[in-house]
Amino acid sequence: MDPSVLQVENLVKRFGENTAVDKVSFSIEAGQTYGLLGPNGAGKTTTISIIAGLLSADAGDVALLGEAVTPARKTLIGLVPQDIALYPDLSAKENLRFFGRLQNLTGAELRSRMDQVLEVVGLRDRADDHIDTYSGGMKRRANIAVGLLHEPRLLILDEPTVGVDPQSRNSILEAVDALGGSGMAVLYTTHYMEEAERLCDRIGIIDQGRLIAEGTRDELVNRLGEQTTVSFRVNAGHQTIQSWRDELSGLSQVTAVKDIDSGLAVVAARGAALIAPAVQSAQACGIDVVGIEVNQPDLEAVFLDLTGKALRD
Amino acid sequence: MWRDVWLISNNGLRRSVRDRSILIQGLLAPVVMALVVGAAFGAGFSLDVTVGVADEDGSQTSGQITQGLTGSGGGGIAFSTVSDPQDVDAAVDAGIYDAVVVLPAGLEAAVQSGSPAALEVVGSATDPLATSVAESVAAGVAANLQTARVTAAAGTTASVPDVGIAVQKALSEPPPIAVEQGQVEGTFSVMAYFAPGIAMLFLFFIIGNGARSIIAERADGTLPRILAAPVQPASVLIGKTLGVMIVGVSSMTAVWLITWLLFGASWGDPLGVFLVIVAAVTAIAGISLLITGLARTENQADALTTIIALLFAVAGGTFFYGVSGALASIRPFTPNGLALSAFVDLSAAQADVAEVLPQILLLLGLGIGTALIGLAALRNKVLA
Repeated sequence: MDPSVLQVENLVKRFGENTAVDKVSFSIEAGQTYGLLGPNGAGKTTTISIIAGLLSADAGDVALLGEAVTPARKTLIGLVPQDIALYPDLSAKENLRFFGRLQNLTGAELRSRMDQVLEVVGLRDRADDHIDTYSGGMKRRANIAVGLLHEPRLLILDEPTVGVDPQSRNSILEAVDALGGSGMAVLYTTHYMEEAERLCDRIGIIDQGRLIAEGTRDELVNRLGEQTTVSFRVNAGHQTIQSWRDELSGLSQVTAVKDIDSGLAVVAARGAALIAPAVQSAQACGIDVVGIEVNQPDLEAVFLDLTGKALRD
Repeated sequence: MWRDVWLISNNGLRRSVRDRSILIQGLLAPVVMALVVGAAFGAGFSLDVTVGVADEDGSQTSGQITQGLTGSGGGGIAFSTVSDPQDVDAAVDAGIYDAVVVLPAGLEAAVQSGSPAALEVVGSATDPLATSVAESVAAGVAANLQTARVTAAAGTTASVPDVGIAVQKALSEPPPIAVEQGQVEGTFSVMAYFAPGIAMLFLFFIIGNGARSIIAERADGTLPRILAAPVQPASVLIGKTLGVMIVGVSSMTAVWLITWLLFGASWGDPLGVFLVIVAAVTAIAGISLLITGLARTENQADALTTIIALLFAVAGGTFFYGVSGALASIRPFTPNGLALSAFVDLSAAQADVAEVLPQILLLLGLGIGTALIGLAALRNKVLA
């Protein structure tokens, strides 16, 4: 049996008193897209920095195709950092040529790969323009192109859609979606639940440095059983809503309550049955309920259930 | 490894060439400022140096040398006999002479016995140019005395019966002053002095920017991306350093060629000039790396570079040719002062490489020493 493209076991990284990564373990197979889902500061970037060889771990192992990540084996990894890690005063081609040569690509092979990745990210027509003339979305795509250039066995994408417009975001997601079919293993970090649900074959939920749940999207959602999320939009002041929040938390079957725009969202078993007592509770607090929405379980609800807070908190 | 070093330095060079601020700081500003200062002083002022000759030996040989020197001069250099050879220092301090060549007691005996003839030069720290001229005079005299000894030795080998006669014969040849005329001729070019001085000031900013780019690239994410490739951290540091060194040497060489070819300011022996440029750039690069390595932030490094660059420029004589007091005592310990003294020796005193080797070695030592400390600090701070 072939070894996993990436095998991470009991990874630990501490910065002084703070444990940024706490015994994180997961693996990714060829052709698989693995999502590391968690809020900002959860330990996602630290984890991938260790995998990419940019940070040393205090404990644990990282194996790439069954072997440790040595400097020479870094060429098996393609890193797309969260920042636009490109030289703004160079063109996309010049950036690709520089980083490609550092990955030991030369001559016709380099030129061919440059053409291919520019095609993949849709930047062939602007390849000779300086990066600082690009829109935010184009910069993100050029950033991805550099990571793909040397055909790595493992592509690490660290929040690649942060700060881009919806159209560019969709374009990036389509490009990443196509990578799995090429046999490349993809490690995708995000705090956007929709992206993880759309792209990832397996998802690890990370919070405060710990991988608190792992599995396919369905496996994770099934953890909630019959639980649903009911969102209540209300007309009331913040203080009043917080009083109501305490009331709701005390209701049986409620597993979590979180703030949303103009109201509260409640995760509960058989959520529909919760509506009547919740509305009565609101009225008792002097709150007018103006809208109710019942949502089927999703990763957001899973995260809420596991941590008691929303992904974007 | 060296392939990666070249890739990284070449990338830095490509970006530097496109950065117009480097063209302004590294080329335009030094040339224009040297032109402005040159215009303030005139196109180039002639030397006005009075060199005293103190005859402590009182021998026939020393008398001939004194006579020869005082009978010559010109080109802004005048020779004069020191009336009281025992109080040379006071005469220099009083400004009677800009510098004095001392013909020590026992000179003739030393020459005749084949012992080294040690000539002393007394000068003022506030007037290194005059001291350089006097040193050239002394060097020329010593060279001619050596010629006399060689003649004597040759005479011995050829069975000349009396070595003393050969020495006397050599000494009776036209005095060594004829040689000195050739060596001390020439004028001190204001542009050849101020252009390298001002270029070095701006080099601190250019090279400082280059050194700080290591910190900036870490923040921008390009450095982590480089380190995610199969590249050794040492290649990054060496590549970055090489890149800023090439920019610095190119900038200063361009200033030299422009002031020489377009404005006729001769900086002296080309090989010597180039070596001093390389040594000065090494020193500035080392100091910049040290500042960058020790500073907590990029902004702090920027501010420190500005302060230190101006401090070295003032103490090193970038803005004023003649410095005195505390500044004069600091001057030899600054990279600017060391480099400018070498440039003055090369241009005004027409020294060769060997004569400016001490300054070159000191600058290289300063540069390499500070660079090693700076790179070690940077490795811990940026690449760890």
